Amino acid sequence: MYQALTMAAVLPKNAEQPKSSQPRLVVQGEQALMWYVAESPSPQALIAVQLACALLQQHCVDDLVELVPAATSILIVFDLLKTDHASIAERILKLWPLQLPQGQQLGRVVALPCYYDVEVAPDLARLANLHQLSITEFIQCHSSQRYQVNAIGFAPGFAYLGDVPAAIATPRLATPRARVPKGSVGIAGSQTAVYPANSPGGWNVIGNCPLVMFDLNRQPVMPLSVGDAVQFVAIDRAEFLRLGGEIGEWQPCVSSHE
Amino acid sequence: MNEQPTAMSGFLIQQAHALVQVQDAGRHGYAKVGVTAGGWLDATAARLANALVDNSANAALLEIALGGFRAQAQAECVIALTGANLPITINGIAQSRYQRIQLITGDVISVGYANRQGARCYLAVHGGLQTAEILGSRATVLREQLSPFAGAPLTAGQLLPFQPSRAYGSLSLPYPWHYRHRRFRRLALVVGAQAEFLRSQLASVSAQIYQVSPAADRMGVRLQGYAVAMPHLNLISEGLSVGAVQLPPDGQPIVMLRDHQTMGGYPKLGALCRQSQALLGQALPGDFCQFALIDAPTAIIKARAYEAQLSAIEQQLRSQAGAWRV
Repeated sequence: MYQALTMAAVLPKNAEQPKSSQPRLVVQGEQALMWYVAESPSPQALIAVQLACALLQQHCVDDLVELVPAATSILIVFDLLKTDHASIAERILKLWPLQLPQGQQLGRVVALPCYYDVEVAPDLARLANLHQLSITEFIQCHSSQRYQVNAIGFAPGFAYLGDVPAAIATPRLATPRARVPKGSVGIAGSQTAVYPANSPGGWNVIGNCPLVMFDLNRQPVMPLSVGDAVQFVAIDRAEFLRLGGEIGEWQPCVSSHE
Repeated sequence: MNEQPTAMSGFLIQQAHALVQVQDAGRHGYAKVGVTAGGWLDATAARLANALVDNSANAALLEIALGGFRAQAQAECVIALTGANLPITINGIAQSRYQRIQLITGDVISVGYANRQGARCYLAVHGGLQTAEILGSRATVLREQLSPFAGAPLTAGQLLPFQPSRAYGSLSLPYPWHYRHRRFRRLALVVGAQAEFLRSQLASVSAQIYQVSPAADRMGVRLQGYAVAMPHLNLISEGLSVGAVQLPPDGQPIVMLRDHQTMGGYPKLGALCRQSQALLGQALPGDFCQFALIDAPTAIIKARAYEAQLSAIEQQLRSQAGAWRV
C-alpha cells in the first residue's frame, strides 16, 4: 500500500522529466499537498516560496482552502470535493521550473519602530553584557540587520524573522515567562520576532515595537507576510508613546530559578 | 418554521465551562497569518443538528464537551441535540437526541455527564447562534482569544443570542445516523510526508493498538503505545494540516485536531481522514485505536461518497422541516 503513496501516484503519468527537474510534492493527507520549493532556507528560497504562492493563487484559487508558506515549503490545502492531489500536481508541473526574478527582492521592506530600553526589555542589559557589547552597540547590531520573514505561526500574527547577527544570537530562556507583553521584541537563537499579543514566551526580550502587529478588524490583518524584509528602527521613549506603545508590567519567570 | 419579527433573544447561561464553545465549520484562509481553523470536531453530528432545525450547514451552534451545561431560553425557539449520548433534560424531563424540540420562554435545558458515551454533543437552534463573526467565522479558539466574549470562556450569566422561532409537528433522525460510542476505533491514515524513513516501521505501527491519553483536547490528541523509533532529524518548520499525525522525539503519535497550531517541525506519519478525525474528537482518554493505512485517491473517493450520503440526509431533513413551516 505504501508504494501507491509516493510521488509517482500523485504526479500525472506523462511527466517524463528527469527527477531533479520535477517539483517535490508530498501528500499531506486526503486534502493537502506539500510543495517543497527549495532544499534549505535562504533568501532565494523565500523568493521562490512567494512566487509559488502567487502562482498557486492564480491557478488554483477556486479549489484552495489554505496556502501556508514556510521557509522552504508551501502547504496546499484544497477542497477534496472539487479537486484532488493529481489535479493540483498537474497544475504545479506546468508552473515548473519557477522563473525566479534575478537580483531583486520580491517582498516589501517593512520598517518596524523599536524602543530598545530596559523599561520595556528586561533582557537587554543581560544580553549586551553576555555578548560583551555596550547597550548602544547591541541596539546598533540588532537594528542594522535586514531580516526576512521566514514563517508565520505559533500564534496569530507571530512572524519568525532571521537571521540575527551571530554576535547577538542567544538561546531562549531556560524557563519561559508566564506573560510577555504585546509588542515585545525577542531573540531566540538566530531568530527575532515581535510578540503580537500578550502571551507566555521564552524569547529574550530586547525591545518593544509599538505598532499593532495583528488586528482582526483590518485587512490585511497583519503588516507582514512570508518573504517580506523587516528593518527595525530604533526610536526614543516619546516616539514610542506617540505611536501607541505601552510600558508593560513585568512578571517574574514561571519558576524562581531562571 | 416561523420567524418572529421580535428582537434578538437567546439562551441565558446558568452553567458552562471552557469546553462549552460556539462553533461552526471553522475559520478558513488565515493559516498563513497563524490563525488556526477551529470549528466543530464532529462535523457529522454538528451538521445533522443544523439540518434538524432547518439551518444552513455552516450555522453556528454549541459544542458541549463532557456535559456540564445548563441554560434558560429567553424566548421560544426550535432546537436539536446530536452527538455524544449525554443525558439531556428540559425542565428536568429527559429528552432524546436527534430530534427537533420546541422550547418555550423560560424552559431550562440541561446537558449532564455520562460515562463513556462520547466526548461532544451539539446543540443547534433554528437560525443559528448570532454571536459576532470574527474573520468570517463564529468558531471559538480560546488559545487565540477568539470567542464571542472577548476571548473568555462561556460562563453563567452570559447570553447566547438567537432569533426566536417556532415549528409545528415533529422531526427526528433514523437511528443509524446517531453517534454511538465505541471504545475501539480504526483510524484511516493517509501515509505521507517524512514516511520515507518510516517505511520499515509502517507495518509495526499499523499492527499496534494505541490508547488515547489524557492529553487530548481540541488542539490535538496524544496517543500512547508503541513508540515509533525515530532517527534524529532537524526539520525545517512547515505548514501543518488538520489530522496530521506528528511524531515528537518520544515516538508517541500526536494527532492534530481543529485547533492545531499552523506550523510544526516534528516528522509526520501522515494524516487522518476527516471521518477518523471526527471519531477522535469523540474519543475519551483510555479509549483504544489502531491506524488503518489508506492511499490518498481511495481516501478522496470515500470522503466524497460519505459527503454525498450526508448531504442527502441533510436535504431530506430540511425538506421535511419545510413541510411543517407555517
